[in-house]
Amino acid sequence: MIVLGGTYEEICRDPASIDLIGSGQRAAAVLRSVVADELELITAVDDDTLSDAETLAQGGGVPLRVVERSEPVRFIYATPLSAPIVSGARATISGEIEADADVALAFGMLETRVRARARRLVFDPQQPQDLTPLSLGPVEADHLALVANAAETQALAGGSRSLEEAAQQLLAGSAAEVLITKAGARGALVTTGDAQEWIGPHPTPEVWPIGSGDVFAAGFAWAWGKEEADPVEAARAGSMAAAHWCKSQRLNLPAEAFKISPSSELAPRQGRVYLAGPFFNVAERWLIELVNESMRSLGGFVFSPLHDVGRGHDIAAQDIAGLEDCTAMLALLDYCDPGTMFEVGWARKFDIPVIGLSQQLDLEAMKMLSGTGVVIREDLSSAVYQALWASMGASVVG
Amino acid sequence: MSGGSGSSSGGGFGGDSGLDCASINFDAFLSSVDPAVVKDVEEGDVLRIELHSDPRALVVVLPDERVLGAVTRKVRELLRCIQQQVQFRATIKNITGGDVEVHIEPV
Repeated sequence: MIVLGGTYEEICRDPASIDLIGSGQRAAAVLRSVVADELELITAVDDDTLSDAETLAQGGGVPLRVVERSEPVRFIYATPLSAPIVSGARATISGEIEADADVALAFGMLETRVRARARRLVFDPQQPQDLTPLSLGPVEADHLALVANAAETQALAGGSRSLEEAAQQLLAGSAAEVLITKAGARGALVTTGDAQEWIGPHPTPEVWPIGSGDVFAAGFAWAWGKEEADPVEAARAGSMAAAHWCKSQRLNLPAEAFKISPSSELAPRQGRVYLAGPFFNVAERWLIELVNESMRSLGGFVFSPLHDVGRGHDIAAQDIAGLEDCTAMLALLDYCDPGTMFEVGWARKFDIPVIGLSQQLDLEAMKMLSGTGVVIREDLSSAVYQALWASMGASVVG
Repeated sequence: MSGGSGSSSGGGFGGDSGLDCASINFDAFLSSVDPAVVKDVEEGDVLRIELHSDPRALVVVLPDERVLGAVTRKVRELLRCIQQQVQFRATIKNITGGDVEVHIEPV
């Protein structure tokens, strides 16, 4: 099995993290336990990156074929939920990223258009912006599957219709026989020529979402491409692998990580998250904006007092009415804003699960919160995913 | 810039882009574990981390120089710090079959 994809530096500011990885390296590494000796990664690296890329690949037992790149490429995330800033976006390569294989997993790359020919090929375009149907070529396969996220599926379908309709239209207009649309906390939508089915997510207490889509694609590619599993079952294998990645950030996933576990799959119900938090200054409003946008793009429904009611003095009744219509709350707890604390208490009185995000909470404040079942998370991405899953019916894990 | 780290682990950046090698500490599962070596280690053992050249890998080595396995998490952070003469150690946390989880921190 051949993996074609990028080797990039990924930097996250909060929580602080720096790594050399990228879609190609990550997918190849996680496939090592199930594909073993037949695995190869084709990627592009520059002179400054080569030795580190070799250290990563060879340490994981992944054979590497390298095409020379003109300069390093970095993806810099303010948080794991933030859109990255790309450094080195004008990098070029001196050859082709191409393969002719029995089974291949190809990721779209920043530096070049990937060329792949395979009997069974999984292609993940990896381009949330400026995506056109032309971005899907040049790939050829007897059996082609596309793996895209919800934004990519909507963009490629070229309209503001429902995700289900967009997926059907995209599939009908492509040479693929399967389209997997990853929909964040909601799970994934599997579309084939004659059927469409949602699979649920596997909630985990901690969530590191950077790279989770790569791991999903790898798990799906192994199950559908190599094992020739049914697309729905293959998507479930991808979802399981992604869940393992999210909670462990483990590149050398054990083979058990790909095994389907129906008991841990959430059947999401439609719910709504109340976004409780202060918005008195630019830092607070920036966080509210980030969380609100993130939860919506991850497939959630949100009631945000800032966005749905607005500022002013006469807002309490509307805020509380909105709260009582929600199935979970995400509370931004740092510095114990009185309005937020009031809303948390109200939610708990009505048995609405509350996930609190806090990095500065004092022990006195903690006493009443933990004593009434509020689950506190220190990192933003785990708090957001936990709140979304709680709104969809998952048990809150402390 | 002010403010401490709210995170309990993971290492970080002391400034806008500088890597703070002293604060690096994290757990990792080793790759390419040698089954013949894993039977000679146990939880709590403290082992060296070295950069080997053939194959090129960050490896965890026993006192008798045998290689237990390779580190593939946060490789770039570790390599940058090793270039600055920072040494790291791996303390074995769990051994389950051929799976070895270690805690990595500066010496």
